[in-house]
Amino acid sequence: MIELTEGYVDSLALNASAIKNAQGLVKKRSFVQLNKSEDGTLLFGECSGSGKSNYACSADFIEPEMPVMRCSCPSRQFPCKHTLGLLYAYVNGETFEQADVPEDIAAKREKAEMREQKKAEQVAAGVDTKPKVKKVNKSALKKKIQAQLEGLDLLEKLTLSLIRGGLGTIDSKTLKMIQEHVKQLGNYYLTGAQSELRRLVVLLDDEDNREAAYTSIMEQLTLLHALIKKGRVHLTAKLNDPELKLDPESTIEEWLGHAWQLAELKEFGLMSEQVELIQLAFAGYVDQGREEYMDRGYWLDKESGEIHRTIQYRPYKASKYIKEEDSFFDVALVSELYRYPGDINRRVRWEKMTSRPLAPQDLEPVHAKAYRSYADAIKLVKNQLKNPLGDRNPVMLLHVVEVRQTEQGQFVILDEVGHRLLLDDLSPIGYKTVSLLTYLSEANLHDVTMLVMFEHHLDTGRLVAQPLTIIKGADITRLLY
Amino acid sequence: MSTALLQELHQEVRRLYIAGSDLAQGDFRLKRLLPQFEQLGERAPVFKKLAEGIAAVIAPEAQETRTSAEKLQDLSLLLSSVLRTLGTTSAEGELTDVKSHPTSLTTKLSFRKLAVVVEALSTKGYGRYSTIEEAFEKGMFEDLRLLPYAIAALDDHYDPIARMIERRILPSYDSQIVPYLLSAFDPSGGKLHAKTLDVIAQIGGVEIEECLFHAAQFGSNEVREVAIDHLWRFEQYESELLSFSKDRRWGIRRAAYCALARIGSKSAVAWIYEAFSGSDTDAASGAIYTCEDSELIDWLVQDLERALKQAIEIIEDKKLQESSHKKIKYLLNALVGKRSDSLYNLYVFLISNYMSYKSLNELDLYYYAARYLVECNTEVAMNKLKELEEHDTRYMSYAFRNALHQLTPSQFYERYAIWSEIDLKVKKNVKRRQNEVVELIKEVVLKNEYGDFIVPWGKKELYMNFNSMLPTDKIVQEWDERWLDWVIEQKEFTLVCVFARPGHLAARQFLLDKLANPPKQSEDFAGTLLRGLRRLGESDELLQEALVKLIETTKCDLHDPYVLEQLYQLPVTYHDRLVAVLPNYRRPILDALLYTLDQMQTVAGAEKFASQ
Repeated sequence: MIELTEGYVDSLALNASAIKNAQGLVKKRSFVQLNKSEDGTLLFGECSGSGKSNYACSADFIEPEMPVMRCSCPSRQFPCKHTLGLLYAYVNGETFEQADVPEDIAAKREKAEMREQKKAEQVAAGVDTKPKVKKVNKSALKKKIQAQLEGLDLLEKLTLSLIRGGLGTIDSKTLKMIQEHVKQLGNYYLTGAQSELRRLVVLLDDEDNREAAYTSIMEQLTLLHALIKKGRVHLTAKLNDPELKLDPESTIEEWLGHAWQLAELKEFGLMSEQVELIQLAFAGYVDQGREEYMDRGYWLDKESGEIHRTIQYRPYKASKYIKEEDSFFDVALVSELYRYPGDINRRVRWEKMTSRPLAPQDLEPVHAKAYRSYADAIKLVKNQLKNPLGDRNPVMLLHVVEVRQTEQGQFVILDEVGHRLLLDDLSPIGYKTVSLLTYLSEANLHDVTMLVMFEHHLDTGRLVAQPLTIIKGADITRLLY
Repeated sequence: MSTALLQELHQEVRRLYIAGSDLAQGDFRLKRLLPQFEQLGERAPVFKKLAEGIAAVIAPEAQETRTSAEKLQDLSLLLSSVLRTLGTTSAEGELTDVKSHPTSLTTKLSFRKLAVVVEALSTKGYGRYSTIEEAFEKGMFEDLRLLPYAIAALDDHYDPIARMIERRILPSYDSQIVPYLLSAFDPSGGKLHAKTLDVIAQIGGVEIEECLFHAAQFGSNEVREVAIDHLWRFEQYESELLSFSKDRRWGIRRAAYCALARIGSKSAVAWIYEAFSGSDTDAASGAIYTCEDSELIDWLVQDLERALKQAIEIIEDKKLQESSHKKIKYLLNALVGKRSDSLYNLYVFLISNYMSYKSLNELDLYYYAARYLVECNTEVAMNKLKELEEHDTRYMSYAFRNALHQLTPSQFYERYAIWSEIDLKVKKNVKRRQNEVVELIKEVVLKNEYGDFIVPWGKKELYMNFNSMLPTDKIVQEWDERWLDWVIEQKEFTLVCVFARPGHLAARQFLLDKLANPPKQSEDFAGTLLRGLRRLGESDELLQEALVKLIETTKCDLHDPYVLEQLYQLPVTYHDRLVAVLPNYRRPILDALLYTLDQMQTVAGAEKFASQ
């Protein structure tokens, strides 16, 4: 018998409106029939819709890690509201009558079983069934690298001409010209650089606040400069390498626009097995540079104590059909965790995951792995910030002896030796959390572990931190989401 | 390390980015900084590198292979890396404990659930109201992270949302959020702060007294009005409220009078009355409406009596008349909803002297009187209303409603059943009055019902709008049986259906004639007729035949639960006739017909099975 929670069904849904619509179906009693198989691994039913005949939907849990949802409706959202509704009905405790597994599903199960069998046989025979890294067409790759180099030249020419003329002279005509370049960069396989140039356009576009934005614009130009220089060195070296190998150490490949495949990461030894992760913070926001929705999560690797991040990109146009990630409150049990090249917070991905409820002892590593000395933590942070292409917002767990306020009302956290760290709201994610501290109980402000995000403000010369989550014993207070 | 010097360099570099690197050559400000960097460079290699960078930027173009822009970029890149390693983290000065006001709020909801509400609270556009309301009903505002957005939404440009936040959502947090609202509240602020204070006053306890009184004295005008309005909770401020009621601003005076009215002390009431009858009538009228003091009512009635008499006397003087009428209007409105013997007597007197006061009817004087007397269960009231109705048929509905409660069914019938052939005075007038009676009866015996009703087909819910009838037992009890003959004579189809009773041949004939010639399209014809036939005591077979006939011959409207019930019960013999009409109907009625056919087949199948 499968056990489902409402939270689990929520997590399967692509977005909030799918949840609402699915629950609406249950509320309106649109399900004409609700059935389960004898062994309880299959739920199926019929739901009346706008069509003449009912939609037949099913959820197959024969492989609990990867449930298969099927529905006869024409929706492109997957899973559709009908299958989700079926699961909500189950969670709500509606009666599911026992029935035989429908023929079409039995046939599909059989086929899947055959596939598995074939795979098992291949494994037994010593054939590697895991996805392989695609064989690279070297001459094509060479052409691509050359194009990328040309693209970098184009980008450099543009940025230098902007700086020569001065930012003060940039008008709408120049802005249009830069936008043209953003489009052109699309021809040079430089998606990373393209996004950064678009980000510059976004900064320049806000003419009312141009004066305030000059520092950020300058920072963005410097970033582009670093990207051009490092990119060029990297690409030239790659061109001279007969193997044309990827660089698994630095983030430069991603900056230039390479999308890492899991198989590639595995080949470079960036895959670990049986990892337990706890999500500590989450937020979704709009990345105007990439023109995509970003769902960003920060997770603690219970074993290593590292804080990883998950990033889901959802292009505006396709956002309806890509799952919007969400806060996750259980422990994620990941059989294969793929790590990207990176710094303090590496990007991670996984294909399959199961979960179990969070127990108080799961949070012990959170406290154990937190930095007790801010000096040590800050050293690491600064080391990363020094690198112009490093992630500018490292996230860390810090032990906080107490949270206090300055006379001006700013918030400060202190470590065991009294080292102070100023708290402030940061721009990248755009959610304010600092003011929420005043709503917390005394206990949550003393002797706690805090997940913070750092940022350096060039104008003021300050390194500040934004509190994301506070963990007190087994209690988690998420100031972000 | 000299962070200040580096910050200075950063500012200079920033300046050059804005002005353009072409102007960097020989820049005297950078030149001035260079020696310091060179000096520091002797000890720290990083400064040496920076010094080289500065030198390159200010050097003439010809000496370098790189362009000015490239050199500036190189310098800026190095500088920002250095600056990032030097960021200060500490905050100077004394530290104090966090001024926290713990709440019971949690952070248990997921991003996706909250994001929808956050978006609704912080953006513009359609559909936000229902999202916020739904979230509130689900208790989502228990989540800490929504609170700041909820407070900010007090200022929402869409008024219903702002009002929901002010009246329902923020008060639901109770006094725990008062400290935050107080910290966000600025007495000299505008509308937003007035609303914030309104919430504070709703949920705050005695601790807000000081804040409220301070705001009442020194706040902006909007804030003062709200503060004064709420000051009634603290009775000790009665004398201050009296002085506020002498304020220059109308809004302040209005709020002060309202607060005094809620305090309701003798002196407060006397003061409000004085203001109302003196020169501040308009500002005090709101307070007068809410005040139920019996002495006050008597004063007002006396004033009204006097003012009416005076108005009659000055009927020729147009100028004086205007102000006198205005005063009467205020007094009449002030007395709406209030009840007293003196007022009753005044209205009775006015009707008895209809001819004398008729000229004041542009003030709707007699409407006020009728509205008052309609609720009085006395013979005098009934007779006066009848008198009024005889003067002017516009008051008929009041007399009618009052008489319905007081007279026996037969007395009532005698009074209102006007037969054309008997009353031959003026033909036209009779018809009009008959029509009025028909409409008034309909108001009593029919009830319009509408909304989504559950149906076992289609989308499971169907919007319906139909008339339900007063139950037959009530008709027997409350209405004389002669009404049925009267409504037949009026050819009033709906009322014939309402009053129909078994064995009344004329009614039966009337309804069968109607069935024979149904209107081509009518919204509630089928429902009314079926109910009428049922009241006549007709058999199921006749009703079923009638329904199917209507479905066949007209665009029959089935948006009525009673009609649908009859439809579902149609026996299988009607199967083919229903199939034949399917092309004439569209959804959702088509779904109802298909469902009925489906039911017929199931029943037929079961019967067949049983017989085997």
